[in-house]
Amino acid sequence: MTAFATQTVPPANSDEPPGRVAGPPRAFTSPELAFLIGVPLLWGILLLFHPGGEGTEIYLDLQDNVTRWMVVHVGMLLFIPLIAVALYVLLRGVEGTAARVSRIALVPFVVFYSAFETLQGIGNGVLVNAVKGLPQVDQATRADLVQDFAEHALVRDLGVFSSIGSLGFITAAIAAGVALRRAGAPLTVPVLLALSGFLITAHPPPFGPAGLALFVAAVLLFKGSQSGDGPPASLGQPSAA
Amino acid sequence: MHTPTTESAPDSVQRPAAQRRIFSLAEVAFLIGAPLAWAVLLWFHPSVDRDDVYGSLRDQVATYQIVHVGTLIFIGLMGLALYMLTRDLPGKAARISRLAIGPFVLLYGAYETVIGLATGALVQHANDAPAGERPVLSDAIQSLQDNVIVGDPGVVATIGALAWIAAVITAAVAVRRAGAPVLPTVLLGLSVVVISHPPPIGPIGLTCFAGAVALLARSARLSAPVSAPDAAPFQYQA
Repeated sequence: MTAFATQTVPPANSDEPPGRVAGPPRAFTSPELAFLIGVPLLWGILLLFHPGGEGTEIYLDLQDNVTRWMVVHVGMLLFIPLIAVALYVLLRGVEGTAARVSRIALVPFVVFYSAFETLQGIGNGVLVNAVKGLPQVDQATRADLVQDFAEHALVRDLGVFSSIGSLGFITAAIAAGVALRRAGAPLTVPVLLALSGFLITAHPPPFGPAGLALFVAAVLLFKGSQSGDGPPASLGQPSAA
Repeated sequence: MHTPTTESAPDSVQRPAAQRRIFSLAEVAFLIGAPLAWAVLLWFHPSVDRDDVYGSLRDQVATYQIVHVGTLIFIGLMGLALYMLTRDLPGKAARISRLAIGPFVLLYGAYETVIGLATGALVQHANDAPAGERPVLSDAIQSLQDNVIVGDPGVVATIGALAWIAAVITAAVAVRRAGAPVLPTVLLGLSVVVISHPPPIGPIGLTCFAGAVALLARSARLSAPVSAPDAAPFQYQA
């Protein structure tokens, strides 16, 4: 039988100073490493199939590419939370303000970037498909409808959702780099993570796949610094690397 | 530090402090405030005739869009609230609940985004279009609504809704197994109806969720000793 009770239980690490690493981040397990590398790699491959276009004639660009467009963007809907989980796993065991900022920033990224992707990706694809099936609608009206939708303030590139979501991921990536650097990662890791943040949020090729490749490189470098130098964390102090 | 209990929890099954479920007052405020705030927002959800979406929304498109931008945020917050409720609970039910939150937030959020925001944007476009074009634009809006992937009901909505149902029911089971009284357990279970979010069903389901949390918190306070007036947080203790 169980019961509710009230009391204040201090956090297990309450004696740790803020902004410091609670202990050396443990080495990644093989499944974790496979996940950390596999997710960005697979997403990068998927993004290579992202249809191109200037974004000024979306209906014309998409009308013969709807299936491909939809497959890429339904896949993206899955990879957006997965890359957030990957960043979360990368920071597992790392404490401090930067790590906390990174974890918190993942939430607006997942919520708003997914919404942006759903509208700009899936919404556009569904809409193009829908208007293609309406013979009574002339080509100009179809194109106008799709273009107007794609340029809506909430939906468009650099619109409300895209901006908040992108800022969320860029913040998360930069803060993760800072947190890992404080945990002993070489300087290359935060640099690569920061670059990946900017590139991944501009996701069509070549930017997205390049950013995801940089993310993989950052993971491998961090992993290498863990296995090469033993426990990397010196309680929040940057390493000499 | 003390651990008062109201039930006959044998010491042998008590979990160590590190595993105990504790909510601060701020967490309780969030767990009650998020569903109630969403419930208030949903009262403004315009009713939509599924066979005439454009006709239903053309005069209230701004309200429709505001409600759905808010809903997008609240879906994430409800996922967080449910996670906080089950975060440290042991057992398979709690684990299933936590796992189901991800698909709920992702897929129900995607469905809401398309049905709410995409439809709103298209209605706005149709309102701005010449009157002669509106019938065909209305057809396009209707096609979006009837789409098998993101429509209502569609694959995305169905999976997202099933995920919420699974998350809530297993959370109720997990909370009950952690010692929650029957009433909050039932109320938590009843919040499955939130998947049909327009009023009155959605707000009722969210009120059930908030009521369940409030009762859990009250139960915790009742079990607190007089000597612990500052013991604001509550916890499940197995």
